[in-house]
Amino acid sequence: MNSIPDVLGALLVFAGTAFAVLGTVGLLRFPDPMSRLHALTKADGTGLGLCVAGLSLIARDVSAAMLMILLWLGVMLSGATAAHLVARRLLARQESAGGN
Amino acid sequence: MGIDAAALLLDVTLAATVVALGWRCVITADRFETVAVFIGISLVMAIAWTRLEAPDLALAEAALGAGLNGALLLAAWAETRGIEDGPAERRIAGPALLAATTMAVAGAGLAPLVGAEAGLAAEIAARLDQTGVSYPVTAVLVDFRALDTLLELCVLLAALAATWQLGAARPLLRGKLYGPVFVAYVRIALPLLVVLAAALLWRGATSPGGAFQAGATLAAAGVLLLLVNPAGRVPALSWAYRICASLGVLAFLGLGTGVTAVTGRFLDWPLSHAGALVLVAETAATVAIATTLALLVVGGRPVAQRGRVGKRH
Repeated sequence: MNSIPDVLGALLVFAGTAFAVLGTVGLLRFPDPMSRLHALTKADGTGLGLCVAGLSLIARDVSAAMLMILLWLGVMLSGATAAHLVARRLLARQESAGGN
Repeated sequence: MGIDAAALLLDVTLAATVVALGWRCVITADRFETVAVFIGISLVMAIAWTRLEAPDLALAEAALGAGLNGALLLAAWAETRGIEDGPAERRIAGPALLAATTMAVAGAGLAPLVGAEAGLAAEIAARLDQTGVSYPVTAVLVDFRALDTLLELCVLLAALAATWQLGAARPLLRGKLYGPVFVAYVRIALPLLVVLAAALLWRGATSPGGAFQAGATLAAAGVLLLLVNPAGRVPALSWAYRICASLGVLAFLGLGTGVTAVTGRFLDWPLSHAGALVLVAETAATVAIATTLALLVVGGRPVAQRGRVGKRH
């Protein structure tokens, strides 16, 4: 239980969870949609990445680690695209409303 | 003991979240919020099914409940956005009554199951070698209860037929909403989704997965394809849609009737070819489910574009 990869993995998962929590706080607290998008995509992407790294260390299984990394890449790709679409829509709405 | 407490905390949190989201979903007067919260419920339910060690339900909940159903509800929301539905006031009495009734009925229905034996798992395990697949859930779906699956496919087909009666499909895009980043995303995601659907279908014989999960994944690929379609309209190829959408029912009926010559019973696969027959039936079902779900998101009968001479089918 207390081998070095396990401890490192647990620390990484803890750091990842902290990022996810902070991202959620940002999503709830930031004033405008654009900064909320920043909080959501960047913090959650980092948080999930750290969790994947930590769980890979704990699992010590190459195929499980590859699968988790693939999932992480998928989440990053979809999350970034979805955030871009929201931001794009927001900009279009602001422009049609007269610059602001 | 520490792990048990952590697991209990997780389970209680999940259960409380589902109930809270459900309450929020029925109580809010904002239709968009209803849809968004409903999608959220499906995501939490997917985690809950995982915790209940029901990975098939988790996959189906995530792909169908959160994914396709979410797209469907959002499309419906977009269609009805301009329509007023009475004063936007918080409704409490109706939802509370609904929740109480649902819980009473569910409680009465589930109470006899408390402390009961673990269902038919042992009997299914004992007869698994007669089915051509090695995964019990798939064995139930396409072998023991193949008739149920056939009827489910009929329900999907009927839903599509009913939707087509409501009118022609409207354009999917209003203006240039999506842009180059989304197109690039679809270029990457589309082949991945198709491979994922094939993997889910193939793995269904031995592990969680199968026609419904694969069909939902393929339908998601179809919806992405429709969204980047520069015409902003579904191509009018209704004969192809009709064939693909009824492929599952046709395959189950055709194969099911065919095997009566060998086994004497409808949908009773002969043991020697059970694996191959099940694979063919599941592949056909996957195509049908994918076509039907994607066309349900379109929400109307695909017709030829206005201003162009299209063939009537």
